[in-house]
Amino acid sequence: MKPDMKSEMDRRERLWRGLLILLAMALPALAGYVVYEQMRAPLPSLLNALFVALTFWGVGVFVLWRRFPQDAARLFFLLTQCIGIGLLFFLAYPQKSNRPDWMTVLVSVGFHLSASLLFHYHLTFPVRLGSSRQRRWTLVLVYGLMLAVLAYRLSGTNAGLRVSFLYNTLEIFAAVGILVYAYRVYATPDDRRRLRLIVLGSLAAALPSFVLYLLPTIMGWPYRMTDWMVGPFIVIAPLSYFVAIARHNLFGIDRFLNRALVYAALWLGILLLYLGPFLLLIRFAPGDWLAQMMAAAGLTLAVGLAFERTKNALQRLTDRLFYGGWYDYPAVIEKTTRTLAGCVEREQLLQALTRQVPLLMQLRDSTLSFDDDSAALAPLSGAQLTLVFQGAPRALWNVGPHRDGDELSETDRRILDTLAHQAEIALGNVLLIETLHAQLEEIRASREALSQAQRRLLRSREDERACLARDLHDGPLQTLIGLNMQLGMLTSQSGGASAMDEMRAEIRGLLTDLRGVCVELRPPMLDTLGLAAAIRSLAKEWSAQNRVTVALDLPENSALQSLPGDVAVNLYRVAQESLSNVARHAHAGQVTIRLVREGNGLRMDIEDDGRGFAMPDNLDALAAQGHFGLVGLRERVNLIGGSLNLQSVPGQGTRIRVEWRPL
Amino acid sequence: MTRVLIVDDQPAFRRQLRALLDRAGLEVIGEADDIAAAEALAQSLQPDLAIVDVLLPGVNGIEGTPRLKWLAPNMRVFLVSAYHECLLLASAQEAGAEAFIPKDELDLSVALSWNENKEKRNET
Repeated sequence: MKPDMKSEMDRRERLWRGLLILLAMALPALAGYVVYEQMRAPLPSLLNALFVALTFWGVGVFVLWRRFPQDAARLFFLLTQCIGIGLLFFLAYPQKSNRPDWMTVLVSVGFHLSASLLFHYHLTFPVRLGSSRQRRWTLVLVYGLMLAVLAYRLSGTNAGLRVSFLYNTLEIFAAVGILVYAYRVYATPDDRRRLRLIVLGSLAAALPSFVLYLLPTIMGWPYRMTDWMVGPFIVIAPLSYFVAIARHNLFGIDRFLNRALVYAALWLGILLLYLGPFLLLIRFAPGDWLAQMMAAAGLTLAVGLAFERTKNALQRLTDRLFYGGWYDYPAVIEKTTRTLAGCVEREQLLQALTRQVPLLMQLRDSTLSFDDDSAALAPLSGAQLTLVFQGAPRALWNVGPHRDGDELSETDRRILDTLAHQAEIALGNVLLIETLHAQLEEIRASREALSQAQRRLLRSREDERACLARDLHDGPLQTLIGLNMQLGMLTSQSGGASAMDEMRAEIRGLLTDLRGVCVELRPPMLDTLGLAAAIRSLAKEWSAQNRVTVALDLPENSALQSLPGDVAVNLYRVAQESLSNVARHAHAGQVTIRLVREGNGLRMDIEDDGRGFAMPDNLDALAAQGHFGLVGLRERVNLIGGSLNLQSVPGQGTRIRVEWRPL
Repeated sequence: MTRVLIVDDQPAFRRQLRALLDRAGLEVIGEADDIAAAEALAQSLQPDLAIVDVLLPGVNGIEGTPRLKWLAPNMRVFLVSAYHECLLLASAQEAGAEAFIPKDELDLSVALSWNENKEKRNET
């Protein structure tokens, strides 16, 4: 598109916009004028006129506001404004004699224009009929004839009036005819749904007006209903448009209209509730303020009590009117997709497909069965969709028909297919997550089994060592002691034979070695004097061996009395292993061992002032570097249900902290 | 004559110790293999001396010493053990035992010294 053409379009667009906005302000201004003028006129006709005219005005303005760029919306707006202006004066001034001439002209122009616009509108909406050339010529004819008839009408003769009514009626019937034709010919379920209400509404509005008003006027019959009674019937037409538009979301104003309708009805109800009794009161007891105030209070109470319930009932009614059989396609896709994307459990998937989708799509029911469900569900009359995962059908989604009994349309099926595709992805996620959960559970169980086996192994190793130590102690050690004792008797008797002394020394050496083995296997201190004594003994021996001072901070033996045997053994082993690590790597000058009772638990710190090392991120990295000792310590501590914490800074020593707490 | 109670769970050691003590002229008036049995004997026999092993099943010798002393207040308690351990010595003293003797140091001269001790004490 060339730039100048574009700017030309912009100018036209701006002009259109300005004109439409001006026109949108015209009707309220005129209504204001009428209210000012007709203060003393009969109330019903004024209210009737305002209600009808403003209804048309409101519908037109909102449709235009929401869908300005669409030609149909502009046409609809023009139509509603013309009808609105025509009806405003027509209904507000029932007596033609009271009406200024310019108003009569406006009424005539409004009605003629609106009839032609209605025809124009239905020629292009909801289905464009004929070719654009045919449409253009038809419209030229219709609008041309309309101008001629209008001119004849304004001449003021009785024949002019009849001809104009005739032409208007013909136009309206042609418009309704086009609608019925479109309804019958383009009758897919979607279009039917779209058109059904418009056709019905138009018929409901046109027939009574025609039979009781237009026909008598044209034929000059005497029985003709009063002008203002036409209003309520005519209002049916725009209302049916509302609902049809809203149901099909033609202009995206369904929600707004829905709420507006509910509150307008509520407001009207409250107004009538107040107005009726007050009119009666004022008529029968004009000066009774007390009665008026009591009535006001009572009514307010009644309104307050009934408001919520009435609002909900109205909302339900309006929802049924609006959404019965219709739903908001993009919203269904959007909301369902969002829910499905968040599905990680079957229950969520089930909720989304059997609760949310039927609710959003106005379906009667929906079921979902997984392939491992034993009970197969009976297929519903709507659609049956299979959800496939990794090439195998894994779930069956049954969908019922619409709530109003309508079969599913092509659009419905397309949407359901799209949703089923999304659901397949969600199902895939759910199944994968379930598999992952199961595997995780297996891993957890096998880890638990492994750790129990390790614990058993460790315990049985300690048990075996203790057993071995006992056997050595009870067997060879005792034998040697006995032997030594008997030799002791002999030497005393034989007065110090050197061979005997040598044998005794030999035996004592053997005893020392054997004792060392026993202590290594199971320190006897641990079982007799407890952990603190055992550590004290260990530290003393280690200190003597390595020439490193060991500072001890240990509690009384009695404080550790309740410590379970395997905890004591393992803490002892941790101390033993730590000390041997210090001897091997640390080059320490001093080691501190601290045992602190913490509640029911116990904390053991082993600190050295050696050279330390750079801490890796975790102990597994240490194992990778070959420091299995520390890893072994951690395993030992884990097995008694404690925790091991290692801190080291190069040049500043190492601290091993074990914390244990009874389960 | 010094009347001695031997408390040890090893029958072989009890037998050998009894022989040693006989030889040294001490009278073994009872043997027990744990503290519970020793308590009954100590109360009924009121020995002069109890030779108690440290590593006993159940209540160990160090814990048992004050209990035996309470039942037989005039009885001396000598703790013996297969293990050299100055910690044991300290604990033995703490528990109220008169002496701690590693088992491999037991010989006739030690046993005789016990007897002499007794006699010396009797003399004084």
